[in-house]
Amino acid sequence: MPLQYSNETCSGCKTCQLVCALSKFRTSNPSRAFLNVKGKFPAPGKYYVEYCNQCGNCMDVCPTGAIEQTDGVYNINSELCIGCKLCIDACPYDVIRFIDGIAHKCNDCGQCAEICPRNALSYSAEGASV
Amino acid sequence: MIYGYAGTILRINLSTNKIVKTPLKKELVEEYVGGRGFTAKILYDENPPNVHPFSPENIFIVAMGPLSGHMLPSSGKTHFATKSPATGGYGDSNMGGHFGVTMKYAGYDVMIIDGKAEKHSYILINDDDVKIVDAEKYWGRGSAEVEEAMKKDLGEDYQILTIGPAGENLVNFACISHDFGRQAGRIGIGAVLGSKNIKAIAVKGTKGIPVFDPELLLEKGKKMYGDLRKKPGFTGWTPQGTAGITDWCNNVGALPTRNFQKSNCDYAEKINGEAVLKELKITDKGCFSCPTPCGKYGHAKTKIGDAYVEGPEYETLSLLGSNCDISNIHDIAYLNYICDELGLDTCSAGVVLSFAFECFEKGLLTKEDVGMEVSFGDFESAVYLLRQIAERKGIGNVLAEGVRGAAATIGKGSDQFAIHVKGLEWTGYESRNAPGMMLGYMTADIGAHHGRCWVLGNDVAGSAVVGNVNDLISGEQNANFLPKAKHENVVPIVLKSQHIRPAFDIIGTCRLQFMEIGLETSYYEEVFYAITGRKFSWVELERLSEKLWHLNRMYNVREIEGFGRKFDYPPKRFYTEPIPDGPNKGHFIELEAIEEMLDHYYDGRGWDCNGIPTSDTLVKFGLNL
Amino acid sequence: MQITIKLSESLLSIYKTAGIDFKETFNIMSDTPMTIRDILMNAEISPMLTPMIIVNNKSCSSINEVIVEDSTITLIGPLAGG
Repeated sequence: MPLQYSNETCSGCKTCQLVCALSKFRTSNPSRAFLNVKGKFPAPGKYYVEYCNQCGNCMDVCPTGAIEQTDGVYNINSELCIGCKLCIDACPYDVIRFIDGIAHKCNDCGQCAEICPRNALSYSAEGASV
Repeated sequence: MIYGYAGTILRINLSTNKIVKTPLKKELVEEYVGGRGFTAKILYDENPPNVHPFSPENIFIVAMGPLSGHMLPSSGKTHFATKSPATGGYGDSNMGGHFGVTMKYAGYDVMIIDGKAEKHSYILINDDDVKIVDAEKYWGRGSAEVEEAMKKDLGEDYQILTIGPAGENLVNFACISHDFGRQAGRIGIGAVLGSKNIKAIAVKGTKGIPVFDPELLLEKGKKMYGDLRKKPGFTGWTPQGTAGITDWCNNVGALPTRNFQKSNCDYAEKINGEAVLKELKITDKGCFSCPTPCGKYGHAKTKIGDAYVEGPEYETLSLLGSNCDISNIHDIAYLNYICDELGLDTCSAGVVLSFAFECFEKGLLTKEDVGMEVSFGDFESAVYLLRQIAERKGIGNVLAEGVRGAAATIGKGSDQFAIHVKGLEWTGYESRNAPGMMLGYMTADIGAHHGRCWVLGNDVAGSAVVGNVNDLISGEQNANFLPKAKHENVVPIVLKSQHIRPAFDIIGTCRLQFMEIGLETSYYEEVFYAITGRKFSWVELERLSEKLWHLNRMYNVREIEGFGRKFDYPPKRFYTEPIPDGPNKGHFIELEAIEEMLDHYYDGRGWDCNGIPTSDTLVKFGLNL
Repeated sequence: MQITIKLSESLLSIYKTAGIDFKETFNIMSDTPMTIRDILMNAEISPMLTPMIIVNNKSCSSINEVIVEDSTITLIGPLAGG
């Protein structure tokens, strides 16, 4: 079951971004996370999180074969990445990051869903419940 | 590099357009840690003595704490400070949301603004790039309206704070607004930005903050989130946020009603947390990294218009609601929205309005003075007055000075019911039968504010412990009557609260998870170490928090002429007028009790009988002033 | 039936300051149904200090609500406003 998001209970806290960046880059820096947290205010007054749903568009455009799929998860091999940024352009959710000359993406580690205090991000078929 | 911190102080002089960045000094970090520690020290050391709050030389400080911006619950609190327009002394105000953490991600733990821009301007920060930009097209417009426009103009990833017309017009209870519903509300902080011709500050930050032990922070931070869920308070708190306390306050006679004439109302169920959920709420809206979002963002519909607004939370419900005798939840929410757009602190606005209503009721203000008939319970009166205040038009110009200033102008004994301490209006807790709360309000450094001390539960517990219960309760949880609370033993409880509550303003987190939900202090010690590499105990933090009481008191001594004991008295109403009805019928605080409490409090603080820190106390806390 | 009572930190701390130590969680046994009011009296906890009561993860609207089976009751003490 891929990562799910429901904005019914999302409060825009960005804890998902914090755990992602801390885990992957050892820093407190939400802008490095593989999720975007956006609010639409004043109306309709809800939050929206963009995240990697492992659609594979990135692999389709990668010219060097640096992106491969295993068990439904697309991973970037940093040694093969030439920093062309085609994957970043192709990503429909703008959640691939370009850091120190190389593209980085979500590897479906699940920590965002694990920590989400609102159950907005989850792997559950039932979706959010608090 | 200092782990946990961004490492830089950003100084902006608006008169010279000079932007200077200096490294955050290890000595400042070591001794004052962050947030409220930084603001107290910097204001004392750097603000020119006897500067006028609206003078260009009055500095405006934004300070983050070491835990701000890191992975733990509610690490998004931002601390602001300046010389207060309301009191003329030390003033600070704390705000949730996302602004301050983004400033830290841009590379700055502290921002100090002085001078005055030549034209209406805003400050634009994009990591290293800092500019002062023309804001003429935004000037005069509402706070949320401008934030929305700036996000369109600059980009969604900017975090923005704004002032409204009230700040532009130097209303002494003007606030700063951010993120469509968060405020740095108190002490007139918005007016200081207005006096500098600054409409907004927009910040984008992508740099990240170094962490001493990321693996340990991952472990300890996750534990905080996980363990918090298991606390009994976790499910109780979030659904209604602070509005959940309205019924209880009404039931124990702590709900300010009709300018604190009374202590409860007969329509609490129309303006309580359930009413907020049922009538208004769209989203649970929270601050950065917060697992227990207390904000209730919703939509209000009234006869004069409808609006999206975050709130009303408890203070606004009580002070713009029952305190103004307004019983329609949509009307209260709309008044909340008006205050937010105009940039007015809802706490002070509620008390100023109720003061004006009482003046009118007593004939101290006439229709000619005000421009129309105004009264308690009249929503349109309230809307009218708020707009007059923000524009400083007519009677608005008098009321814009706050209740202390307005009472001085109106005279005729109106100071009897000008509900403030040191010039800052009281907040949402009737305290004539709550001596701990009373003392906390009296002695708070910034004026009457519950942020420094909240011990109402303790005050009520004195009446509610085993043995009295059956006499007191009729059917539900409300009290028939409450016996007179004892004031003799409140000082230690007040001191403790005054050290703990604002301690969170030092480390840069919300206090709710600890205070209301019960996350133990050891969690904070553990993440503090993981983030900074510094072993800093809770005991040391409380000690620092205590030290700041002396430092801020000395700032007030320096800046407020004749400052001392007489500035610590509550409003006359509270020691001369018994509560007329409700569970606290007949109660008030006697002057004798006030004097006793102050004597014991000063003793407990190590201050002399005039409330001035003794030189022994200053030496004991390492303050060479 | 077994009724598990949990006290929030704010409630625990208020009682502690008043000189009364409660455990964060404890049980009450009863052969017959009890109202929440009865349960509070039995536990010697004042309804005046429990503005919020959660019964089995649902907010309870009245202390006259009757409990008929094993339940967990969470008592939230007075909380400060914003």
